[in-house]
Amino acid sequence: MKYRISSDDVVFEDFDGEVVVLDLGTGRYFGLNASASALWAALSTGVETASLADAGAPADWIAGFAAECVQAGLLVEAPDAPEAALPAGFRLPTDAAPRLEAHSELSDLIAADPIHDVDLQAGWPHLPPDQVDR
Amino acid sequence: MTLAGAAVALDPTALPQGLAAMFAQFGNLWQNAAPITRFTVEETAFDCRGTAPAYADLVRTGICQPAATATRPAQLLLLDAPGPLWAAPYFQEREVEAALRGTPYLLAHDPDRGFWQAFDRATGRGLQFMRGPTGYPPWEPGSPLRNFLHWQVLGPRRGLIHAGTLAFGGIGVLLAGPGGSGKSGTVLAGLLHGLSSVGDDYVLADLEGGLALRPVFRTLKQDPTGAVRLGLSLAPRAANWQGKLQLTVDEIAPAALVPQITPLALLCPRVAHAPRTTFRPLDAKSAFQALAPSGVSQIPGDRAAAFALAAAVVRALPCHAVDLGTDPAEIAGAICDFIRRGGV
Repeated sequence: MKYRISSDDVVFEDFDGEVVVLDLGTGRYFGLNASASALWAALSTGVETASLADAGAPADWIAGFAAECVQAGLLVEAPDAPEAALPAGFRLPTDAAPRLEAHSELSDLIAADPIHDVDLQAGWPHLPPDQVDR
Repeated sequence: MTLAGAAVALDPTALPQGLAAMFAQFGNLWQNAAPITRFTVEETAFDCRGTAPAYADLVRTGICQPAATATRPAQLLLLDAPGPLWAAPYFQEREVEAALRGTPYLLAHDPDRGFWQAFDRATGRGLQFMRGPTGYPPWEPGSPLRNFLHWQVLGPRRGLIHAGTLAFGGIGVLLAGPGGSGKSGTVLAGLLHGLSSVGDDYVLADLEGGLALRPVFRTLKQDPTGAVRLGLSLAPRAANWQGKLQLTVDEIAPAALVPQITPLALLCPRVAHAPRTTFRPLDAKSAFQALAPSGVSQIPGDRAAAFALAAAVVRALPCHAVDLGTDPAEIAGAICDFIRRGGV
C-alpha cells in the first residue's frame, strides 16, 4: 500500500530526525518519536509499505503507524500514486516502537478549543452556536 | 461613513475578485476618513483612519514605537460598519487561505463577533469592520492590530512569534510555553530585577543576518495571584478576558524595553516550585512544540508560514528546559547568570 499526505493543511518540520506534524485544519499537532519520524519520511512521500518491510521495518510497526496516521487524518491511502524510493540514508531506529503523540492543549490560549469546542460544520476555530457568547 | 462592507458580497469561489472590488473603494473612503493615529513598526509607517477612535488609546498604550525611519507606508481603515456579505453558509478559514494563495490578499473573520480584517500586501492597505466602535476581540488591547502588523512584516525569515524575552546587555533568551508554564511570570520577574526585554507575548523575530528579536508590543499580563507573588503594586484595574491583569512595561520598568536583543537560547520554563531555578538541555522537537502551536493558532492568514518561521527560530538556537524556583529574584538572577555564562 502507498500513502500520501491528506491535504495542504498538513504541514510538518523535522528536527534532527524527530518530526512535528500540524494539521492546520483542526489545530491538532503531533509529536513523532524517532522511529515514527523515519516511517513518516517514507510513507508521506509515497514509499510502498512493502519496500519499507524489505528494508527491515517490522510489518506491525508499518501497519500500526500508517493506520494511526490515517485515523488522525494526516495520511490517506494512495494506491495509484507513483511509487517513491526510500529517502536517501533511510534508517529505522529500532529502540522504540513508532509513537504518534497528539496534542490538544491549546484551549487556554485561543478563543475556541480546537478539539472539543469546534463547530462541526464550520470547523476550527469556530465555536458551536451554544457557546458563542461564553 | 459607509463602505461598503455591506454593499460588497464576498463569494468564496471568487474571493480575489471580491476583495479587489472591496479595495477599489479604499481610496475614496480614505480621503474622507477621520484620522485616528499613526505609528511605526519596523520599516513601516502605519496610518490609521476611520470610525474607531478607541484605537488611538490602544495603539498608544499597546504598541512599541522605536525611533526607526519608516520607508514603507501602510494605511489601515478601521470601521464601525457591517462587514461584507459572505456568500456561503460558513467561513471556512483554510479554504479562504487556499483561495487567496498567490494573491496579495489576506482575510480573517470572526463570525461570532462580526469582525473582519482584510489586507492587501501589495499596497499595504488594510480594512477592518466591526460591530460598534469598540467591537474588536477581547485580546485586541493586549496586542492591537496584531494581524495587520504580522501580515505586513511577515516574510520567509521574519514575523511575529509568540514568546517572551529577557536580556542582559543586549544578549538574551526567548521564553516559550503554553499558558501556565510560567513564561509571563518569568518575564515580569526579570523586568522587576534589572533585566531588559523586547516583549512578553508577541515579539518580532528577524532571521536575516542572524536571529534578532525586536519589540512590537509594550503590554504585559499576569494573573492576580501571580501579581501578588511578584510584589507588583498596580493601580486598580479590571481583569482582561482571561482573568489576567494587563499592564505595560512602563508601569514597572520604564527603561527595560530595549530596541533589539540577540538571543543565545530558547528556554521552555515550567512552574516546578523548585528550591532553585535549574536549566537542562532540551531537544529541538520539544522546544518547537512549546513555541509553534500557540502562535500558529492565534494569527490567521498564513499559518503555514508562521509554522515554518517558528521552526527556523528553533533551529537557530540551543534549547533548554527550565524548572523554575519560587522566588522571583532568584529566577531573575538565575536567568541573568545563564545569559552571562553564554547560555551554558
